[in-house]
Amino acid sequence: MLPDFAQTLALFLDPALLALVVGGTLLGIVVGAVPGLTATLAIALLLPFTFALPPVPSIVMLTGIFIGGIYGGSISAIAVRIPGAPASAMTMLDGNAMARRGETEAAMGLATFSSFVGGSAGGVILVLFAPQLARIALEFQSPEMFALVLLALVAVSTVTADSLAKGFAATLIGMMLATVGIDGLMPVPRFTFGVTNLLTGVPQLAVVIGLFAVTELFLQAGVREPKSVRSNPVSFARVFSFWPYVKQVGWRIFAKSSLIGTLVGALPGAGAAMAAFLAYSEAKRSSKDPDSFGKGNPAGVVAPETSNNAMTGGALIPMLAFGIPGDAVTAVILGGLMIQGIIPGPQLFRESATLVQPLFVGYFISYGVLLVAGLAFLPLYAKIISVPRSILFPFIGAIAVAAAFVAGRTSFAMFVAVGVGVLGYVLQRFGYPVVPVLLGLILGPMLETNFRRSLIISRGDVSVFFTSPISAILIAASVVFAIYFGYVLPRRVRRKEAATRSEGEP
Amino acid sequence: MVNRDVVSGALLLLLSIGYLLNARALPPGRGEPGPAFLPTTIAVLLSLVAFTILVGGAIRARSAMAAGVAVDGAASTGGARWFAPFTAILLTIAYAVAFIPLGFWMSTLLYTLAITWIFQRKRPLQLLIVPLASTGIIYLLFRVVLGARLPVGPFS
Repeated sequence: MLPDFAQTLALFLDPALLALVVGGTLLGIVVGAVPGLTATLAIALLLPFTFALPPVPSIVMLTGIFIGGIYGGSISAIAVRIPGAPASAMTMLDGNAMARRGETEAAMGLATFSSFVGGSAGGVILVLFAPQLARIALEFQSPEMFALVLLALVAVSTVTADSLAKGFAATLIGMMLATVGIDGLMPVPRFTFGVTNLLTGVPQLAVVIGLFAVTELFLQAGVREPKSVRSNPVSFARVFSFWPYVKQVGWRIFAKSSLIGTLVGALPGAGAAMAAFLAYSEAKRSSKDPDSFGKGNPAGVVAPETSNNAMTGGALIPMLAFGIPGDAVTAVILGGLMIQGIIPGPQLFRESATLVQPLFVGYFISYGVLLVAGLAFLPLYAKIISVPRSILFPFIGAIAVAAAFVAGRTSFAMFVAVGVGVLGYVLQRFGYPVVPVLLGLILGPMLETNFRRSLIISRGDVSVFFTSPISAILIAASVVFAIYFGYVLPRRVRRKEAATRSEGEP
Repeated sequence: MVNRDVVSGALLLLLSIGYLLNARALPPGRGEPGPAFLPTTIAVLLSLVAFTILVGGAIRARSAMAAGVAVDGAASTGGARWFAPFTAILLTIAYAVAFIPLGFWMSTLLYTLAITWIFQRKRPLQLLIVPLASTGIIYLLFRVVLGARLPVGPFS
């Protein structure tokens, strides 16, 4: 392994490759910092550009944007109390409180350092476990793969939405889109309605652009322009003022948050926001002074930022080992890889090992860039976050439609992107999540193909899914998941809220 | 005001019925469930889920009305406007339709001008600069950096 890493590290001596890693990370930070923009949006719009690149530069750049984007949201969360990304909503509570008492630099420095620690820990777990899981996954036959994908779809349906029914509905809509085109096992067109362009299915990249860029344009058009956001001045001289807080918070919070983030990241659909919430809740629960959370407790910055960046390593584990994305961003990256002809999953480590090692090295380099850039450019961040939406979104709308045209090489792809953008807008206005739509689109074909193949092999005997211990366990886990996250946990939360309300009443 | 869960549940129910009717026209499989199996399963599950959402929404609306509380019919974001997103949708569709006939430059300039106007009307200089800058940057990125072909419209 060490000689391989040394050889891979030498690849990054190429200035062009290094520039892509650094540039991708910085772009991700900028995009993540601006409210209304997300790493998913940036990657969706950049995918057509990655077609011109070989696979290694393409994937390291996309990973850099992913990493930068998750961290970047903390900047506006701390400086102006507007989370740049949903993942930073918890960081905002204590981070902005610290900023309001004059410790903006300490809060941002703490967020940067915590992101570095969490991301690096997630990366170590990724490097150690992904190859081992891929080896196990090579033994998986169709019943096991079906059961694993089923668990992923149930997970994404239950954890991304406030309502189990709406989460399932969104996933099913994605799976419906996936059935358009020629059937995978029989040469029969499905739901093409005589449209030749639909024979190859709904273009995935156009769906990604529609769901995450075009939808965002329509949503932002419906929100009143906020008053201009201004941050307190940030001084470079105080950039290391966060260090005493690192010692004060202690290594245990870093360790627990890293573990939470990595595990949550590995769960399909869970995402950075859930990782941050769980880590924050745990830090508060185990604190000697839980009431200080939300009022400027540094642990309230450390826990969510460590966790949401550890998530980036965790989310790459199922994507690389099983071909199942851990969150929306990895789903988009997965789509991009598949369009390039690279199929993530168990075969990746055997047939495309020359891609995996550079990804690992690029991952750690991105976190190095994040640490340095995060501290060095602190005074610039106030300028980044105040870019008006009236400048950003006309550009985003136009580039999204043009990107769909260029990527699909047809006007049909443009219309798909716009149509899916309208669908995404309507779904979100009615309270439905859109991440399950994308995961349903990507995972639906895997579910169907493995299900039908299993029954072909077993000659129609459905017990094939239960005679395999792995398959049986995964199916049981899906049921438990659905019941716990869809019914038990929401009920517990509602009871707690009702108890809190009645305590507050005279 | 109509409860949004009732509306969305009803729409999903209609969608699942239409989807099911099309799925039933697919041929059966040979020795395996066939191409109709998953679509049929999706349609059945979606109709159950849609029914759950619809009934849940109706019950909540009825309870809210009985308690004298305003029924949830508002947008998911409090105070969100509807006219601007609706206009943005129409403009984006028009942009996609006009992209090839008018060509990249003309269609993109007009589109970005219109979208900028939706977001703000108080700064005329921005109405001039944003469309020009956006169109120029996108042209550079796709035509120069990527080498992609963009439609030239009637001015070729």
